[in-house]
Amino acid sequence: MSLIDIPVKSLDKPTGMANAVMNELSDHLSRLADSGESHIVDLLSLPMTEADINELADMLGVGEVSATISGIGTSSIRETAYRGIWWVTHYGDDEKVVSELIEITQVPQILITHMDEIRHSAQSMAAVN
Amino acid sequence: MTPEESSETTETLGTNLIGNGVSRRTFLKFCSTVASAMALPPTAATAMAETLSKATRQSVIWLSFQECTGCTESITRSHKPTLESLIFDFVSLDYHHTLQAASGDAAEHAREEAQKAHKGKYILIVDGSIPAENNGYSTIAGISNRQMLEDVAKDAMAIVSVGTCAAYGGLPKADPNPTGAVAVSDIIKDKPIINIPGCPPIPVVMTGVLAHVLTFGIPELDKHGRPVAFFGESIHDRCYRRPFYDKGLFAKGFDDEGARKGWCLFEVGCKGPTTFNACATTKWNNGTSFPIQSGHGCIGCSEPDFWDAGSFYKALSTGSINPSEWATDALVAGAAIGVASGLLNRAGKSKAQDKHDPVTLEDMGGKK
Repeated sequence: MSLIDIPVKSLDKPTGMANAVMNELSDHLSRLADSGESHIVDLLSLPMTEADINELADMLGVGEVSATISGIGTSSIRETAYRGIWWVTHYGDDEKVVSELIEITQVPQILITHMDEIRHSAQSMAAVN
Repeated sequence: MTPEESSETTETLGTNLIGNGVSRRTFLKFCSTVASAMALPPTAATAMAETLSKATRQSVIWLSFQECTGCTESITRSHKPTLESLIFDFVSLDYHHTLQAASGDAAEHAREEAQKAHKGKYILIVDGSIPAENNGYSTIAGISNRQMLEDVAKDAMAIVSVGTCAAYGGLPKADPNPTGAVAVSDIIKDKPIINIPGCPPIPVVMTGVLAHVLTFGIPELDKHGRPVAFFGESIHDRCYRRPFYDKGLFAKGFDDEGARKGWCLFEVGCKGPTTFNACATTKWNNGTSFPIQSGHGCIGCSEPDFWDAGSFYKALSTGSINPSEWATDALVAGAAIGVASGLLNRAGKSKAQDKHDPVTLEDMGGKK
């Protein structure tokens, strides 16, 4: 018998948390528009059920940008239909979700290549050429 | 300092990562996960990644006293590369009975060298309890546990007591406590001590705390000296079977209808309501499961004196306490509030503490 078979009815209906989060995101997006200040919301730290997270995803929709990072486990970064609101999902190497973040920003930090790594690859390239 | 200079002088975690083929993005992702697990704001992950990547190898001395080696086993059971193994591989583990290559005099010499070279800057990790009554019960290279603890603690930056034995005395301290076992905090009074209890503790709790210490310093601790980030909530409050508890649906035995349907395990002895740990959220074996999910009640292994807090299989409401003192049907039926159970358990624990008379040599038939 797996976890799914246990009939705990309380978890499969949205609780209204999605609306609360949308309010918060609206505040952050306005602040980003006014002052350029970014913010991150950690969905797994909130008391959101799976149904809530799905409802939030429906409310935010899908935008024009999507990116995948293939490191130790993949990460998926998508801009939602609201420009400046990004949905970032991190997977462990066993494909289980380890992190679900909403970033209110021009571009998520994780997409930007770090200068330390650029210096390192510049050295490697110069060494070969 | 230019990148060329820094890589020539001391290796940082950042250069170590590049050398191991772990990208900064992957490292940032792991820092996000740890920050989330520690209930830090998600923006802390960037600060954590930046600070940790500049960290030079942290010297760690690990002393093992009256222990079963379970805590070491727990922290090394990381099959996949995770932040746990990254951090653990990066620290300079200058002394550890199980993991170090040297033995005998060479091992003790390595420890003394590390103490001198990193005076005031090394982290002391301890697992196992210390026999306070008779120093002869547990010795390493002829040095009593107590003596070695006092010597090494003197120049340590901070002390981490890993496992319930080092944090609170654990199994050796259980009634009748033949060795007079005590916790690290009973002996060392003048250094910051972080308790990470559990029998054993969850690996990511261990490394999450280490990461926090290296980045932000000592985390916020509760009244038992445990990091609030991991030990701030009870198992009961985060348990996925809580809706069954709230509805009064309990397994009465381990193979009845309730057990098979995955109902609450309160009546078969679960100590979830009075136990504070990260098991219900972080879980074990890379998030696979935890005792309740596998069908067995919580035994309360991160709490002081849990070995003497009543049977693992009797409900909290009936344990070793006279039920008539708490004559509420509500408690037994499970509609109880967590507070009532908490009060019950504390009464039980102070009774357990009263029975701890350390055995003397005379008790054992010897002459003083």
